[in-house]
Amino acid sequence: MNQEGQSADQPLVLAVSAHGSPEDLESLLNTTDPDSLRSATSIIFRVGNRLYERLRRPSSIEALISLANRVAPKPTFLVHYSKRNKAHALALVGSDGITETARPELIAAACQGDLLSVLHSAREFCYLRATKSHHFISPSGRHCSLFLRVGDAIRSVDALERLAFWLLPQIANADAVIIDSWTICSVVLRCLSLLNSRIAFDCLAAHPRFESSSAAAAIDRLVSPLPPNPKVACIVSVTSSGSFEDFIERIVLAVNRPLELKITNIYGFAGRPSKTSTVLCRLPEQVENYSAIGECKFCQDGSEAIQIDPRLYYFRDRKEIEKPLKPAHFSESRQSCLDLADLSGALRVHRGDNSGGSTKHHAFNIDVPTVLEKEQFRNQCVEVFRSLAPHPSVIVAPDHDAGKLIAAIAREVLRAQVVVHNTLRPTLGMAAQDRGMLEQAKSVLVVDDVLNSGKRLRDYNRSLREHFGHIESVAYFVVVARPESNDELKRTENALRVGHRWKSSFQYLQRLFLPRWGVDQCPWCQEYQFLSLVSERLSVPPKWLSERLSRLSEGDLGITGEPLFLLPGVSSRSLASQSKVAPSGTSCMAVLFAFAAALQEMRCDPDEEARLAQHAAYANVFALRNLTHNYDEALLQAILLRLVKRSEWSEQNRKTAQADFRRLASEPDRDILLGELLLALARDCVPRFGQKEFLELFTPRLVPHAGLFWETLNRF
Amino acid sequence: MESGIARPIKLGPYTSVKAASTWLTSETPSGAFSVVKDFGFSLFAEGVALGILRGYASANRPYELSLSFPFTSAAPDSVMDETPLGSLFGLSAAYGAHRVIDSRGVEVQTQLLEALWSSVQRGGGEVGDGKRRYLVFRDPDYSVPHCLRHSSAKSFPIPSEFELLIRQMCLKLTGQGTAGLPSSESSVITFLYEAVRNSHEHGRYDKNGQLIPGIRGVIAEKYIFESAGSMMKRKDLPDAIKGYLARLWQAKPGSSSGEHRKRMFFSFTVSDFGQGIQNTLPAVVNESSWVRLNRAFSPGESRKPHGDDLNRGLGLAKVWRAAARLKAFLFVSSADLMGYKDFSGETAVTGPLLEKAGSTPGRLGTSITLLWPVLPK
Repeated sequence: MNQEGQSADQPLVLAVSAHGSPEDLESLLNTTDPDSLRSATSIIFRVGNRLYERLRRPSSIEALISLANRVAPKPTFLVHYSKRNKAHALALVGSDGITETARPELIAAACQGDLLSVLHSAREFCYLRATKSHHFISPSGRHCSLFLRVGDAIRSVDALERLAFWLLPQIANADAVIIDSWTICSVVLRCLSLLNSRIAFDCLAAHPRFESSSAAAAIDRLVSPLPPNPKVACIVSVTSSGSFEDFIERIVLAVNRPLELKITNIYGFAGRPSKTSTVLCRLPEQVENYSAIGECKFCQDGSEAIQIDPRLYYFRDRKEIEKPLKPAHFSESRQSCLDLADLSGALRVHRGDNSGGSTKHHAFNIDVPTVLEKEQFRNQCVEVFRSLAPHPSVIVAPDHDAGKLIAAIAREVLRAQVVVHNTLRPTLGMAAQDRGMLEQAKSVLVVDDVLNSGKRLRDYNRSLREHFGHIESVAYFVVVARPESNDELKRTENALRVGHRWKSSFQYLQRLFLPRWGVDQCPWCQEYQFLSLVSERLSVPPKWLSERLSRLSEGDLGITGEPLFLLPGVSSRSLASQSKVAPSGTSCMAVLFAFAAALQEMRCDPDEEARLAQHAAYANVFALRNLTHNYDEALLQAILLRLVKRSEWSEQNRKTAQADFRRLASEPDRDILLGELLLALARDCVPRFGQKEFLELFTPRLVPHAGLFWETLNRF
Repeated sequence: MESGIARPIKLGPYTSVKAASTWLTSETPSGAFSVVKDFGFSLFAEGVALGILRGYASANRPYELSLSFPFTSAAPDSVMDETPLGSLFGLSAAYGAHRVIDSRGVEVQTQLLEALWSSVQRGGGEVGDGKRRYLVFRDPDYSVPHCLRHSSAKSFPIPSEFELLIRQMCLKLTGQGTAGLPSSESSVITFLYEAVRNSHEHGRYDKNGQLIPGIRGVIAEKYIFESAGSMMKRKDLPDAIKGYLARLWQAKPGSSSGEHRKRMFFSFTVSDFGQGIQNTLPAVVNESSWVRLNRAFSPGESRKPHGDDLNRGLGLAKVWRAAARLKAFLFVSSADLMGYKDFSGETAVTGPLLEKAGSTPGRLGTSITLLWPVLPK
C-alpha cells in the first residue's frame, strides 16, 4: 500500500453477520452494488469463526466453489480471526475447496477497504469539514480543516462489528488496553466480548495535551496491578498530525513503569508524519493543520475557529440559518421536466431498476423507452446520430431493453454493427465476434438510456482505453443526463472527453439534476414502511389503503400516477394558474420532478452560503417561509413535505412551529396536504402533534382508523 | 343458498389434488363451498387448491363459504386450531369469499377474518400446530412476515432468517429442533429461500406487473408412517409418492427390519398466486408451455434482463439442486400444469419433471413442494 492509501489490491469486502449461514454469502453477493463488484480485484467474505467452521464442512464447500466460479476470474477469499494465531487469516476458495493462504498485503487491503466503507456510509455524521467561514481547533490544539469523530461512525451493529473485527489481534495480544476517547469504547468492549477476554481497559479522560496528569494517572492505574513489562495496546480513533502519539509516549516515560506500548490508530489521515505506530486504515483525505493561530491560514482569511471540546470531542450550539428556495433553482431543470411530463409514464418515482439486472432502487426514475415513443425525441436521436463525424462503425449498448432500443435507432441511421455488453471487458463474457468487431473498429458510438452517476460510461471508457486503444474516435450519447449536480456532470464529461488519444464527444437530449436516492432515502419506501405497519394490524384493511400499498409494491413499474399520498375522499390536483414554477394544469408528477430538481440545485448551490447543507458549525436549513409564504399553493406544500429531507428542516422550528403546520392543514381546500403531513409526521420532519390535535385534524378523513394511525406514528 | 348458486362443493377431510382439480372444471357447478369441521388436505393438495381460488378471483367468479358448524370468536387464541379454516387455504378462502355463513345461518366473515388475522399477527406470521405449520404472507401489506424480517417490511430477508425460521418450525413439528436433519439443513434453507424469493419477485404480480392482493405462504408438514405397509394402504397419498416413499423405506441390504420401522418425512410447500412459472418466462418459438416450465429450472433462465445480477436465473435451478441433494420428491403445480420429480434414484438429477396427467385450465399460481425423509440422528 502506498502513502495515499492506494493499493494494487482493491478487494470488495462483504461482511456476513455473526449469526449468518453459508447461504448468506450468495445472498450478500446478489444484493451487492454491481458497480462495486465490477471494480473489485477480488471478493473477500469477512466471516465469524462459527461460520468459518461451517463453511469448511463438506456440505458447504460445493456452494462455496459455485460462488467462487460465479465471480471468476476474480478470486474469492474468506477472512476470519484465528484464535489460535491471534491474527486474521485468509483462505482462498478454489476448485478443490478452501485453502488457507498467507497474503498479509491482501488482509491489509481488505481491512483498509472495510474500514473505509464504515466511514463512507456515515460520512454525513462523522466528519466535521471546514467551510469558508469556519474551521476547527482540534483537541490537540491545532487549527485544522477536517475533523473525524470515529464514534459517530458507529451507527449500526454492522459498523461496530467491522471495527471490532479488525482490532481483534491488537486486543488479543495485549495485557491491557487504553483508548483515546470514550466514543470508541463500544468497539473495545465488543472485542473483549468476542475474545471472551477480561483484560483491563481504561480511557483517557481528555486529550493528553490538556490533561496530561490525568492521562498519566489512567495509565498508572491500568498497569500497576499487572506483572512487570505488560503489553499495553493503545487504541487511537484517528491520527492526524501525530501529536497524540508524541504526548502519550512522553506520558508513558513520565509514569516510569516498564511496559511495552503498542499504539494502533484505527484511522490515519493522508500525509501524516511516519511514526512507529500502526494505522489500520489510511484515509484519502489530507488535513490542512496549523500548530498556532499565528500560522493559521484560515484565521488569516477571516475564518472563525471553532474549538472542539478536548473531553467530549464535540462542539456545542450549532447555528441554523433558514434559506429560501429561489426561482433560480428551478431554471436548470424545469424545461426538461415539462418536456418529459408530456409523456405519460416517462416520469416515475419509487422504481426498482432491473435494467442491467441490478438491484438498484431509484426514488426518481425516467423511463427512456416511454420517452422514445414520442417522435420528437426519436427524431432528435436520429439527428444526433446523423451528425456524428467520423461515422461510427460499431455501436456499443448496455444489455438492457432501453439500451438495445437506442442502439436499434442508431443502427438504422448508421448501418453500423451493434455490440451489446455491459462492461466491454473481454474477460467478462464478451463474444469473440463482438471483440473482433471492436478490434476492427476505428470509430465507436456508445449509447445508454440515462446518465446517472456516470459509472457505466466511465467503465466503458476505461475498457476501451485498456483493451481497444487503437480506436480513433469515441462518441458517447445518452437520452437523459440526470446527475446530482452540474459539477458531477462536468466531471463525467471530462473523464470521457479529456486525456485520450482518440477524438471524443459526449451528447445528451435532456438534462436535469435529481437526487440519487436509493431505498434508504426514498420517501416512497418510507411511506410503504409506515402504511404497511398500519395496514397489517387490520384484518380487513380499507380498500384505499390496500390500493396505495399495491402501487408502492410495484417496484418494476414504479409509480406513474399519483405520487402523493392522498387520504380517502381527497382528489388529485394539477398546478393552479399563475405559478412561478410551471404552467397552469401541469401534472402533479411533473411539478414534483421540478421541485425535486430545484431542491437538488439548492443542495448543490455553488454559493456555499446559499447551499442547503449541514456544516459542522452551522446548518443552512430549508426556511419554513418557503412553505408558509413563498410556495403557498397546497399542491406545492404537499410536494415540499414529501421532498425535503428530515435533516434539512430546522431543529428550532421543530420545537416551535407546530401551530404553523396545524394552521396550514386546517385551512379550507388544503386537504391534499393531509396525507403528506401525516407522512412528514411519521418521518419526524415536522413538529410532533399531541394526540388530541392529531385526532382533531385527521379523524374526519381517517375514521375509523385515526387512532391506529396515531398509535403507529408513535411506534414508527 | 342464494339463487343462481348451484349445489356447494363439499370440502371434507383429505381433499386430494384430484378432487381440488375438479373445482374449476366447467362440468362442476361452483359458487359455494361447504366446509365440514374436519376439512383438510392430503399431500400437495393445499397449494393446488390455493391456485384454484386464485383462478376463481381472476375469472371474477364469486363464491360463498358455508360452514357446517357454528363459528364463534369467543376464543380467538385457539381459532387456528379449532377452525378447519386455520390454514393458508382457509385464510385465502375467507378473504376471497363474498360471504361466509356458519351452520346457524349467521354471516361470520368479519369475525372469522378478525380471529384468523389476529392469530397470524400474534405468531408473527407463523401459525399452526404440531403437524402442520404455516408461514403467512399477505400482499401488499405483509409481504414479509414479522418472523422473517431482517431490517424492514420491504426488504427481502437474508437466508439466515430462513434458517432461524426452519429451526423454529422443526422444533414445533418434532419437539427436537433440527435434530435429525443436520446434513440436509443447508439444502432446506436453499430451497425455502429461493422458492420464497421466486414467489416474492414473480408470484404476486399479474402479467402487467400490477400487484395482486392476497394470501401466499409456506406450508411445513410432518408425516409419520408406522411402517411401509401402512403407508402403502393410505388412500390419500398419490401413487407416485408411494413409490418414492417405499424406495426410501428400504433398509440396508440384507436387513429385513426396515419394512417395519417408523419413518418421518417433512414437506415444505411454497405457494403463490402469480401467473405460473411458465407464463413469466419469455417464450421460445414453438416451445410448449410444459417444456418452458422445465426450462425454468435450468440455470440462467429468467424473465429478468441479462446484466450484472449474479443471481439471475439461478433461483429455480437452486431449488432443483437442493431437491437433488436431499434426494427429495419435488412436486410443482404451476398455473394449469402439474409435474413431479423423484430424486431418490442414483441418476435422477437429470431429466425433466414428469407431467401429471390432466391440466386444469383456469388454475393460477405456483406451488412447489419438497418432500424428503428425516434421517435418524
